[in-house]
Amino acid sequence: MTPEERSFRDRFESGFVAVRPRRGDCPNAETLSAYAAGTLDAATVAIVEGHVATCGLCDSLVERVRAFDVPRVVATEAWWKRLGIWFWRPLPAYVIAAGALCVPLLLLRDKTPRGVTVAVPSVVTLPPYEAVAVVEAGATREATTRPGAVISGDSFLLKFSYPINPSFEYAASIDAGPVVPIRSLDETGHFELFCRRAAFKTGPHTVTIIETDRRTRAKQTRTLLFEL
Amino acid sequence: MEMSVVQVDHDDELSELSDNMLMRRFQQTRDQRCFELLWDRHRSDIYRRCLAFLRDRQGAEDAVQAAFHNALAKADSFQEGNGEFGSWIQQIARHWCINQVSSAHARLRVSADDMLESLPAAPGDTELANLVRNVLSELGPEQRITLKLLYVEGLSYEEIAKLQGWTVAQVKTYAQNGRRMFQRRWDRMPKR
Repeated sequence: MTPEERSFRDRFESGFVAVRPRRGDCPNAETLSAYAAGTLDAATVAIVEGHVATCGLCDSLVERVRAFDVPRVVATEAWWKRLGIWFWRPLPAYVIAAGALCVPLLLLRDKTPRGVTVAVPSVVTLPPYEAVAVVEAGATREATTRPGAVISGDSFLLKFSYPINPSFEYAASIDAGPVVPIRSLDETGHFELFCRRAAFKTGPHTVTIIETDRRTRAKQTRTLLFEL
Repeated sequence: MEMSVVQVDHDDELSELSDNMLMRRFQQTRDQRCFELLWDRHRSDIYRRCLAFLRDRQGAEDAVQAAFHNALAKADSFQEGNGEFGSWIQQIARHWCINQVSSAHARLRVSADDMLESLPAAPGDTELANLVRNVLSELGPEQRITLKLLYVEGLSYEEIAKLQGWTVAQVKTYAQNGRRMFQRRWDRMPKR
C-alpha cells in the first residue's frame, strides 16, 4: 500500500464503512432490468437509486446498462476530446516522438543515388558519379531519349525505368549483345548502367529487357531506344 | 445455444416487410426465413450493445446467440401493440447480460461480505455516510465505481479488474485519480 493510499484509508475508511449498512440488499436482476427499462414505479425507483448510490457492484451494473442503451457514447464526444484522449495514451505519444526524431535523420542521411551497375559488355570501372554523362532510355518501345543529351568523357550512365514485378527476374542486352542479369536495387524499377562511350557508335541504340516468370519460366522482351 | 445463421435468398416480398410484420408472419406460419431476416437486421446492433455491456467479445457473441434463441423460444409472447421488435430483442439481450453479470457479482458479494465482517463496525454516523455518498456522486463513473468497489465492497485491484473488464493498471489509475478528486471535493464541501 502506498503512503497516499494509506493516508486516504486512514482519513476516509470510517466514512465508507458508514455507508454500507444503510443501503439495504442489492436489487435482483429483474428489478434492475425493469429499472433500466423504466418500468418501475417511483417509490421503487427511489429505493433502487438510493442503493446504487452506495453500492459499487450495482453502480457498475447500472453503468453497463447505460452503455448498453447508448453503445456509441464515445463516438458522440467532440472530435478534439477524442483526439486529446488518444494523444495522452503512451504508445501513440512514443510513436509520434520517434517519428519526429526520424525527420532530421532522414534529412541528414547520405543522398547518393542507389543505382545499379551490371556487367554488360561495355561496362567500365566506375568513375566519379559527377563526371558521368547521363543518357535516358525511353520508357516505352517507341520512345527515345530526349534530343540533345550531352555525352562527354569516356563513359556515360544509361538510365531507364521499367515497371518491375517481384515474381519476375530481369536481364538486359544492349544492341542484341550478350544477355546479362540486371537488378533494380531500389526495387522501384529504376536501372542505371555504366557504359563505355567508345563501345557505341553515334546514333540510335537499343536496350532489350528480358523478363522471366520465376515460376513458369515464360519470357517476354521489351525494347527501349536511346540515342548517342 | 445453436442458431442457424445460414444466408438464404429471401423473397423480395419478405424483405420488404417491417420487423413487426415479420414477427406476426412468423407467429402465424413458423416460416424460419422471417426470423433469419430479423437476425440479419438486428444482430450487429445487439452485438454492439452486448459488447458495451459485457466488455468481452466472446461474451457478447454468446449474448447475441442467447438473446435470439430466447426470442425464438418466446416468439408467441411478442405482441405488436407493446412496441417494436427492436426494443423487444434489446430488452431480452439486456436482461440476459444483467443476469450474467449479476451472477458474477453475487459470487464476489459473498466473498466481500466475509471480508468486511472483519472490518470495524460502522460508527452509525448518518451525516458522514451522506457526505461520502454526495462526494462520490460528483466523481466520474470509472473513479466512482472503483472507489466504491475498493472501499465499500472491499475488493482488490485484481478482482475489480476482472469484474470490470479493465486492466489492473487502469484500475490503479482510476483509484489514484478517484482518491485525489474525492479528497479535493471533500475539502471543498461545507461541513458542520
